Amino acid sequence: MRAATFTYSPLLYWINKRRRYGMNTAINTGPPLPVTKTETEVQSSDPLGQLDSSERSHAAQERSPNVEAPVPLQPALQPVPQQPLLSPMLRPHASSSLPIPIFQEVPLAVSLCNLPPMLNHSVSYPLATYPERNVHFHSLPTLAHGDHCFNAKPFASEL
Amino acid sequence: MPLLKEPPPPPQAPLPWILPSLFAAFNVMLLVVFSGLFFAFPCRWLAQNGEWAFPIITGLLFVLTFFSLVSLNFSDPGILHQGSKEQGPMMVHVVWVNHRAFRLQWCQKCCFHRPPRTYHCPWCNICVEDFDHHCNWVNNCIGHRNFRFFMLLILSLCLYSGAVLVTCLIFLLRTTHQPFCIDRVVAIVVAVPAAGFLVPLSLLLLIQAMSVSAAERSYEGKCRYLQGYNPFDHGCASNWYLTICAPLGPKYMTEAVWLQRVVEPDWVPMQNLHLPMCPSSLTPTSGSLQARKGSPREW
Repeated sequence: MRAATFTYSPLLYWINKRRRYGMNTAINTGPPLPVTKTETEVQSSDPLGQLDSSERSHAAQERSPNVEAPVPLQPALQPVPQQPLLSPMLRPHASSSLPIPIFQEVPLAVSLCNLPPMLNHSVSYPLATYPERNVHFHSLPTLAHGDHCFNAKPFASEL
Repeated sequence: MPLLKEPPPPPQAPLPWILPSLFAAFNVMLLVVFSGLFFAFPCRWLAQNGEWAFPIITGLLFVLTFFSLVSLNFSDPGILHQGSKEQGPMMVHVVWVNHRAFRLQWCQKCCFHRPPRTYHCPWCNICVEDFDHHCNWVNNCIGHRNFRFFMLLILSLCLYSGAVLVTCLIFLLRTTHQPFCIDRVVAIVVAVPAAGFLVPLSLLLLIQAMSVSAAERSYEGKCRYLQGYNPFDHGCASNWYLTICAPLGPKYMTEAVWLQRVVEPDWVPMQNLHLPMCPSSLTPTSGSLQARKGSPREW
């Protein structure tokens, strides 16, 4: 019953085969996102069960919907920029002598369609907390049109 | 403008499979019918007049072409799927290949992180290892496991079309003194499509040969994501060896368990491979995902 003993993993299969072909391949796995999980949760949620959670990488890149793109993380091939575009908390590991510009991708970007309804002003109210009274505020477009007493309720009613 | 919540897109209906399958079967029949006409008329006349080299050469090329075409129709392109353990789309998988890192993409259909060069074919609805393209002529994906069949098909089709064209032209030249007969009509009918297929097939063969030499894939040519450095490029000779001659190994989910055994001392540790150093110089540490150094079973 080999199937019950071993783990079918396409990543392991792929990497082992490429190593057979003489390629220098390795895998690194990051935590499940969002990253607010504790270490235990990270380890237990590891899909392969053999991953070192302390070595997880936060590597990411600008996501392409169809094609994965290589991330030039090797300093020998592409020097590390002096001012990486990521925050220090996103560095991969504190013991790393050479800082690697690994970028953190937004784990689950909220779709614009799922945002709370907003007015076409810079000020918005969620519908649930929208006050009943008329709110008078000014914005540059309304000031430009001379409408100093702007009522936001008609806009909210469109939502 | 208010931001309205758009309704979710309707689920895509599965693509009809009958038409591509019929087209692939039609192509096989096309090869058989034209070859039958060729061997029955102009080739028969040449054989009756002592020209046995033409039917022998074209016959061998036809067998090779038919074999590669049928094999490509039913071959496994290198299907990968989820495996025995579920993965999460939120996990971050980074695979290093020759000092270049690939952030693996999550396949929503197959529910796993696709290795590099693995793509989901929308026609076949499968993830294919080393995906090259989906061939409508054979209604199959061209991937890691059948790319050599694809190259063999192109090469044999080029040779066979050229041989058929040359044979028909020689037959027409040697029968110019004869009255117009059915043999000459069939020779023209066969020579025209042979000449029509020969030019694009030769061009395709040239393009594929260049791709193999550079270790590129047709699907990647449109994207240009390699940014001037192809981590899969091992040199022209090695690329040809890996593409054509290298053992394919066991199929995934059949004997793939031998490639995924539990960590043993002779395994090369993969820990810390996100660091910019040589993996072979690292020390083993438990708990890391490791690739096996050797296989108990020869491929």
